[in-house]
Amino acid sequence: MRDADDNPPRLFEAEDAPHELRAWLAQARNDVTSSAEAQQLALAVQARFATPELRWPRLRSGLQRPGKVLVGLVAIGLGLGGWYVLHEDGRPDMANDSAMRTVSSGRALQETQSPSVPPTPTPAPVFNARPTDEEPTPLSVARAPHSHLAHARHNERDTVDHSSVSLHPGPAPTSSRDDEFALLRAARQAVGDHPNHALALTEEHARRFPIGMLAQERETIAIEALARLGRAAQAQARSRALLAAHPDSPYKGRIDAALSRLPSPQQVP
Amino acid sequence: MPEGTAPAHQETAMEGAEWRQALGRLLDQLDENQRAAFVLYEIQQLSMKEVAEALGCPLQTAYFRHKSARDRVLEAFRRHTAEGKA
Repeated sequence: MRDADDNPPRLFEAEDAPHELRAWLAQARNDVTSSAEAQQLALAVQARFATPELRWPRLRSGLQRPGKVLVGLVAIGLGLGGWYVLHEDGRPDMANDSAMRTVSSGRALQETQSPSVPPTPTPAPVFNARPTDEEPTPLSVARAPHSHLAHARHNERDTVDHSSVSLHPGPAPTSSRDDEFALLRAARQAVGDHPNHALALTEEHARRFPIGMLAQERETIAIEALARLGRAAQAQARSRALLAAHPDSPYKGRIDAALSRLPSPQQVP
Repeated sequence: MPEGTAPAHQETAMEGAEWRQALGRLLDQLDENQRAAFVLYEIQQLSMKEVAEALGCPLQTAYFRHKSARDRVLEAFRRHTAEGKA
């Protein structure tokens, strides 16, 4: 991905930056997916989500320019998740105020899911157990059984039944990291017009990537979807749990905005 | 993103742990917002516009967070280097 004119020089490329620091950043950059993988993801997503009923102009636009937009979109997920795993492997003792770790750490969130948090009727998508078959490489991510995204084609309207979300094995995806990000990105794109669908996608994401790379993002999307559906109690409960785990979450603004759309108690029949 | 570069599995575990730990310590100097902006921009190579979108903040805020993060990382690196020489 190339810098636009309005982007500041990256530290990696700054000649006046310390050589060693530049080398570290270069290595970190090499740990994330290649643009080729991102383009494979673009094709996979295009095949799976090219449904006329779905209005995802940004996604489609990105698919037409995989060299820029989709690389960025994939990179968001990989960055957040990669750094979580990176730190998990490298520095297990430094687990405090890491945005990457907290953005992605299902384990931290899991610890906060106390009985005081009201249970939700749908499976909690974020606070699940760590998967048992973690990839050993330093920037690996949790591998969950690869289910496909084909259900998206069948659930495009808000009449979707959550219980119908398909978890059947499907064609091998480009990679679990790519799939994770694609799934969450699709959920984000669907929140506005298809909150039920978005919620279903977050639930599938939680099943497939229990400690996934973007746990906070996933939970935020779910809260936004629940708020749009008027499921106030669930939205508020999940919001409380998320913010209890991450009081300084970068997603706090989005969560507050979502909750502000909920009807007041007087409006609820 | 360079392709064909040496993946992590080609490093020894020790080498990988060392630079990751060192870089991680630098990033620990940042608050969540700064850290997110720094990693997304410097490592994931998103544009600032994409960083802002990912974090759900205004573009100028993303610029500010990145600049603050970069300054703190450089400062922390200088301290790290000075301590190493001491």
